[in-house]
Amino acid sequence: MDPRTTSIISERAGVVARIKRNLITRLSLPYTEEDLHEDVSLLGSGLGLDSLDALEVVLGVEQEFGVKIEEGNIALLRSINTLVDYVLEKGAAAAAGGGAR
Amino acid sequence: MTASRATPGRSVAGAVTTDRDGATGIARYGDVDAEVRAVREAVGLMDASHVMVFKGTVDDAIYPLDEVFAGNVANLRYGRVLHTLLADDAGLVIADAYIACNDDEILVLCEACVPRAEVARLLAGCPVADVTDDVTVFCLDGPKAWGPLRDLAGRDILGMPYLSVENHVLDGAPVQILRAGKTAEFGYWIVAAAADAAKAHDRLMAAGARYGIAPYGLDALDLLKLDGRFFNVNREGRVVRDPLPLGLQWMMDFQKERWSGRDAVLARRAAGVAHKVVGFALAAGQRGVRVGDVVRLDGEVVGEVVACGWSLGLGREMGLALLERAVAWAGLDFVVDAATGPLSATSISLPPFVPASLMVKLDEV
Repeated sequence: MDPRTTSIISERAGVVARIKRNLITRLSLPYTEEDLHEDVSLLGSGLGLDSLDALEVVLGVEQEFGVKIEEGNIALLRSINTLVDYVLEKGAAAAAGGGAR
Repeated sequence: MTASRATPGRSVAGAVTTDRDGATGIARYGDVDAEVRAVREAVGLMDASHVMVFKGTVDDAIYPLDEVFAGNVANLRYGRVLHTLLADDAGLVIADAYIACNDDEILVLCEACVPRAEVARLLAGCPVADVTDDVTVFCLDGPKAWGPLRDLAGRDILGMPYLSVENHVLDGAPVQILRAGKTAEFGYWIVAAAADAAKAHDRLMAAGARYGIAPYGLDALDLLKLDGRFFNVNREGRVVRDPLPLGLQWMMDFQKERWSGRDAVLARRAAGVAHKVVGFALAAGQRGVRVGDVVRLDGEVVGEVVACGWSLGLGREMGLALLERAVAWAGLDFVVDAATGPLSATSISLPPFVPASLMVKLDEV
């Protein structure tokens, strides 16, 4: 496999694992990390989180990654993958911008 | 053969019908892109005559159904709806189902990838009656789907939580309304008596006129499910069948001791999932991907396309690919070996757009 491909996978897999662990622990989900598809919907059909659960997820991601999620930015909770995209985007921005988060 | 019941005996200009495992549904009314746009931007009404419907009483049916469906039917509360799946003895998906607990009545609504008789066979031990021919199901979807229902049935409609069911009256006829949908927009499933179907259809269309309503068919539904990342039992479901690579774990209760296909699914889960379905988008301007096309990463074959179509939200062709687990991640550049030649694709996070309904606050409309 191309080293660039390996690097992209490694970075993404790391963030995915941390978010899944966070979700399972904070929400006491009856699933393993492997059970959670990255595109599973967090709201509505899928994990069916309510507004309190959503707040818990937001707090978890903010604490785990040191990023700030704007209040009302419910669109980020479409799936695990969309949350991961946000974290990676912020991480890249921090690296380029000297760590400002 | 089950006919479409919403427009019995009437011809619908431009409508093209299609057969889905013995049920006739309307594939499209004309321009599929326009039908998709109506649902993404306003409201669409679908005659869901392809949906199989079973009814029973909660007291008699809830535990037998719990032993067949993969989700936890026994824990279903009054007034709520469970979204789950039905698998065969080999643990392969045959139906995507809503189970609604409506007062004393339990309602099972199945979209299947097998003939109706096969679903009925699996439900044979459950005291539910197949009422598919006695009712018609309509799906009202879109960021303004609440509008026609509020105007016809009252403001209480706005208070229905997602995955709930209530009895209402539409133009004097009793209906059951489920707050549910598979398009990533607001959705309501309306179950009407077959005798009232044509009237209900016309009333919904008339009430929806001020909201920009348009009828939509199964072809549009397939595209809406695809970029809305809703499982489509008739597309990727029919190709892959195994609920684990499809990512349907959330529809199953692994703690339950009995459900159809449980042992087979648990055995595969314990062995580890070797493949996974991932979304991808073609590069701008590229067209021509087909189900079955081989997918390559860094020159190596890593999977195949299991669903595809045009995404209005992305403005390009997209699809789902069943990939080897090690490379089933978003953000990678692939090549799809299409009949027309190699196509550039990137795996993406789904859904790849923000549905307009997410921005609507029902308590403010």
